[in-house]
This record gives sequence, C-alpha cells and structure tokens, in this order.
Amino acid sequence: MLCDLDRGLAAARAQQFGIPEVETDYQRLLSRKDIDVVDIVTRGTDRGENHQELTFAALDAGKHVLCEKPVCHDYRDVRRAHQVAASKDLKTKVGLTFRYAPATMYMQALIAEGFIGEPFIFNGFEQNYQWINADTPMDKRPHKERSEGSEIKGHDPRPEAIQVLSLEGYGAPIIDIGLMSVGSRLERVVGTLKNMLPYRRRTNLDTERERINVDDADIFIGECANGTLFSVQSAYVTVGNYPGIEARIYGSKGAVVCRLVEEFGECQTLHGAKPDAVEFAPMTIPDRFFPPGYQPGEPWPSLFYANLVHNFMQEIIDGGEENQGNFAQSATVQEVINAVELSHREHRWVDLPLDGSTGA
Amino acid sequence: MKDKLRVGVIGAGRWAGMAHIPGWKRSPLVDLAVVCDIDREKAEARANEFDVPGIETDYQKVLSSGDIDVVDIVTSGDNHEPLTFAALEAGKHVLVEKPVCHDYKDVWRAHALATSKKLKTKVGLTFRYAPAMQYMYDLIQDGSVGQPYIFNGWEQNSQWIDPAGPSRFAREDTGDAPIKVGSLEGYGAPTIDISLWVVQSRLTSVVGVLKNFVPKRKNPDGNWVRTNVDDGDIYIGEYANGAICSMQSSYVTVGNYPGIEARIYGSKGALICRLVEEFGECQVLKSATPEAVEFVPVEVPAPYFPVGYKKGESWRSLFYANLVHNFAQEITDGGEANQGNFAQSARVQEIINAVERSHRERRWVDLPLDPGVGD
Repeated sequence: MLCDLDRGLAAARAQQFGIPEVETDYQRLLSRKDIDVVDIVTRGTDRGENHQELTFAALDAGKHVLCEKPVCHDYRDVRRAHQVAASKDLKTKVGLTFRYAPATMYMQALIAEGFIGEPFIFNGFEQNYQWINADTPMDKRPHKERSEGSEIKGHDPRPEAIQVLSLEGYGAPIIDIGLMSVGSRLERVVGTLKNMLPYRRRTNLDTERERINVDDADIFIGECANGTLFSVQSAYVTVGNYPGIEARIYGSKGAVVCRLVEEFGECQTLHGAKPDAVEFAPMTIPDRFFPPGYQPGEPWPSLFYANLVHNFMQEIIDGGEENQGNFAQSATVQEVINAVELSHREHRWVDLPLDGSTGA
Repeated sequence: MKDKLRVGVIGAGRWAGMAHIPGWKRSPLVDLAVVCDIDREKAEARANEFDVPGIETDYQKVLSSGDIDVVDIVTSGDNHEPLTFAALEAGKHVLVEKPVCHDYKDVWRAHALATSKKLKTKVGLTFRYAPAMQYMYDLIQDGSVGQPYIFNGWEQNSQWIDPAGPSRFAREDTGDAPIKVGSLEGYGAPTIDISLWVVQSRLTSVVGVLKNFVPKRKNPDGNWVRTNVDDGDIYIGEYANGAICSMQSSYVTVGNYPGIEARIYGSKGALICRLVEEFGECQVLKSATPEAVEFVPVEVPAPYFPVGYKKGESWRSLFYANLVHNFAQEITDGGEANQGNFAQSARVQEIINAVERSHRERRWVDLPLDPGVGD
C-alpha cells in the first residue's frame, strides 16, 4: 500500500510500481492488521517535519518501522522511540543509507576480520554542492503560493544562534559509519558550524535573497572511548558529486578508504593499504555484498537502498537479535549531533553522554 | 658582482644528500662551495659524491668565510636556533630545516634580525614547492575556487607504526610526563604552511588533540621504554575570512611518503592536491567546478618543474630542487619576494604552539597568542 496526502501523487507512484492499494490517511494504513512494516518517507509539512509523530503512531499500532532521518531532532526522543519498539518486540531501521553501500559493508567486514588492527584515526566526509548557488531556494519545493505561519528557519543572525542543518541532514550517515567503523562510542566532541552563504532565496516565490542563518558547512573532532581520534565534515556548498561520502580509517595494521562519490560511472570505490604495502590499492567488492538483481552501472540510490530494505526484511523474518542501524543507533548519532551543536554554541568541548551517565 | 651565489651546507646527513645538495647542484644560479659536518668522514663522502670543492668540520669557519653568500642548515640535532642566529649575525642568507625554533616568538626574532640586515630567509617547508602545489596556488590566485570555504590538510606516513622498529622518538623514557609535541611539529608544519598560504587568511581560533597511539617503543639499546609523544593529531580552525579547516598529522598511519594532501573547497570550485607516491606518481592535482562536479586530473605545466626534471624523479629531489632554486632566484633578483621565509615559519610555529596549548587546556585557543608579537 502507498499513502500520501496528495492522492494524485500516491496514485501515480502506485501505478509506476504496480502497487495494488492507495491511501491518503495514514491512520487508516496503521489500523490495517495485514500490514507488518511501515516505511515513513515523508518530506514534512509547512509546519515542519512529522517523522516523530508518525513513528510513535506506527510503533503504537504495532508495526515494524523504517523511518527517514531525522527520526526526531532531540536524541532523547529517538531513545524513547527505541524503548517503545523494544518493549513491543518491534524492529526499527533508519535511513542511514550509506552503511548499506556494498563498499561500506565490505569495509566493515574487513575491519571485523582485523584488516586495520587497533583503530587509530577515523576521518569522515559527507559533502555535496546542492546549495552552492545562493539563488537556489532554501526550500526547493515548487510553491504556488506563500504559506502562512510556516516555521522561519535561521532568522537569528548571531553566529552562536546558527540553526543545525547540514550536520543533521548530511552528517548523520557518516557519523553512523564512523561509530560503526571504530567500534566505540564518542567520549567528547568539539566542532564548528558555519554559514558560508548567509543570504539566499527562501522559496521559488522570492526574488530577493534574505539572511538565513543555517549551518551549510561544519567540522567536528572527537575522542572515542577506545582512544580513536574522530573527525567528521559535512557541507552542501562544497563542489563534488553525490552522495559525497568518504570514510577513512587508519589502524595499527592497515588502513581502508571507502569513497561513495559518483565519478565517471563508478559510485563506490574501496582502497586498502598495509604497513608492508603502503600504496593504496583498489579492492574488489565481493558479490555477496550486492543486492538481488544488481546490474553494473545501477544508480546508487536504488543500489544502496535495496541493501537497506532487504537487510531490514531479513532481520524481521529471521526474528533474531540482529537489527543494525536501528533507533538505538540513530539515537546515538543524534546525540552526537546535539552535542556538536552545543559545542558550537558554547565554543567548547562537550562530554558524552549528554545526560552525564556512563553511557548507553 | 659575482655571477653565482656561493653556498655552504651545514650538516651532511641523509636529508642533505637526498634533497638539499642535489638541489643546489642543479640550480644554474648557484656554486655549492662547501659541505660542513662535525663528522669529517661524512662531509668528505658527501663532497666526493656531489663534487663539492670545500670540506669543513667547524661551522664557525663557514660563517666567517667572506665568499659564502648563503648558509643551508640541515643538521639533525636540536641546534637550528643557535646556528640560524649565528649565520644571520655573520650576514648570510639562511635556509634552515624546520623547526627553526620551538617557540614562534624566537622565529619572529630571527625574522626581524634578517630583515634588519636585508637578508633573505627560507625554511624547509618542502611541500609548497611541489610543482602541483605551486600550480594549485596559482590557480587559486586566478580565482579558480572563488571565496574559500573549507581547507582540509593531511601529512601522514607509517614511518614509526612498528613499536619495535627504530625510532628517533624513543631516545628516552618519558615516564608519566605529559605528552610531548612530536608529529605536529615534525610533520604538521609543511601542511599548516600550505593551509595558510592557499586560504590567504590568518587563523583566529584553533582546537585540537594530540594522541599517543603507540605508548611503548624499543629504543636503540633494545629496551622497551614509555614514549609519551604525539604520534597522531588533529585540529580544526577558523580563519579571519570565514573559512574553516581541519589538519591532521601522524607517523603511525599507513600510507606512503610524503603523505601530503591539501583540499580546498570554495564558492567557484574545488582543488585537491595529493603528494603521495603511489604507483610511480608522486603528485596528483584534481579539480571540480559547480558545472562539472566530478573531479578530473589537471596537468601541471612544464614551467613548474625544476631544471633537469626527468619523469619519474623522486619527490625528495624534485620538490627540493624547486625550493632551493626559488631561494636562489629571490636572492639574485633582490626584490621583495621571499616565500616560505621566517615570517611564514613563525606563523606556522605559532599555530603549532597554539594547538599544543589547546590540547593541554582542552579548549579553543585564539590567535594571535600574543597581540604584540608577529604581523
């Protein structure tokens, strides 16, 4: 079943993919007994995002939930959602797409096999050039009329009042990959959020640029409990192709660099080096990391997401403990985002966990 | 006026033989007159190898010689500072390996002394002289990246990844003493230099971490000792012009020499310069623009290569040939140009000192460290 507020959109997509049923009211979808899994991939309304509200409603209705990021803006709400799911034996998954790229999955397998030894340094990037032009509207949806009462993003121009955007929208998947790669939690972070393009059109209806104080580029560094150094950079005003992910890990026995950037027909590369073979050489990704029906040259969005949803189905059907990239992991990622934001506002190191406990 | 500059090299070790001396021999502006080392045999061997007429064991004799114009200090000990001041006092133009001094204020003092005597200075900030890096700088000057947003720099190698391997950082047991600056000064300096040079702005604030990943090493006597030295570090910084940066250095990270990478992203484009010897290439420059977002290789034009360049030449001699020839040109031209001089080295050393303080006090440190010192 496919559900959208806009019946025309739902009907068109259903037809495109041969889906039997169309719905405009998500409550009716949630009340259906013959639906096991709900996938929340809404863009939000004029009043803001609705992932949080939909997620809690779906869990309350007893559905396994896949949700696009962010599930909630406050990590504590994500953790609450995880607890609801756990109490009902429901599995969850978040659209942390890039951990499901075949190259990333192979990288994790190599780390697990001991290829890098003890981890020393992780460097992560997620960058694209989506808003490098100041005339590209902040809200890229085509508006026919100005909506009243919508949330004004970035209205406070003070540097410390900058609103988190790139870090949450683009940083989340690479923070996720970083934590997974180093196999430890972050103990403290310090970072800076920047607004490189301070004036921009808000929507397609605006002819003038206005001051919108949002984070369009950011870097943070951190220290992990196991001693690893950690850095992450995200931006949507940096030249380079999608998805713009790079994950580098250096350890006592080797190093691996995974690059998910579509260039000249390749959307993923993996390079490895060892102390006795220090020139980074390309590594071939074994077939087992590719989804059913994979075709060489397949676009990355369908390739990576095919792995994500298939992995979720396997986890639900197997019924075991396995549930990678779930709400618990997403809460940990969101806590790092919240901590980096605090670190920027107060211009200082911030210790994790934020609530002062000894860790989740 | 003499047709050629007469140069005296102090220190005849490995780096002198691989980089400095071959560079001087190649510059058409230079006569390499003397090689000096406290070890006469070393000096003799190098002089024979490169056909240098003079041999000396006492640096004072080199400095007091009236027909030496330029002194090149490439000693391995911790004596760069006294040698530098002595050479300047003797009225010589000075090239010195980094660090000139451990405290940035002393580097500014040396710069002031050189300026007062109208002497040119240069520091072994080797990697700005790589043909690819020099070309990248010119592309930035021509507006290729527009307004700079982000700079990312690395200098990494795996020289001491093996705790049992010989290490110059395992001379003494550090016990529980606080971490000492190691990699940041030894390896970070050239990339910090590049980070300031290409972003064309000063840093206003830095925060960083120094780490000791390999806590125990075998010393030259074969004993395991505690070595609390920074073998890996990262810092981030904010520039006066609004750009931000990250910088990482390490000598326990797998990868080939020289392990430099410099990336700059701006409003009109991005450039990535990688100086890592891999599969016969020691430098790669790539660019992308908002209209063509897939990074493509950029060919470095012939004028960026030194006299006598041969394809496949080692980066060690290639980059240094550019450095010393550039210095000889700056001295011969007699103009204002003096890139990578003591003033620039002082700015780099100030950042190293600031990152060290940031680590010790676990906080952002604002620059300048002392508003009364420097530019």
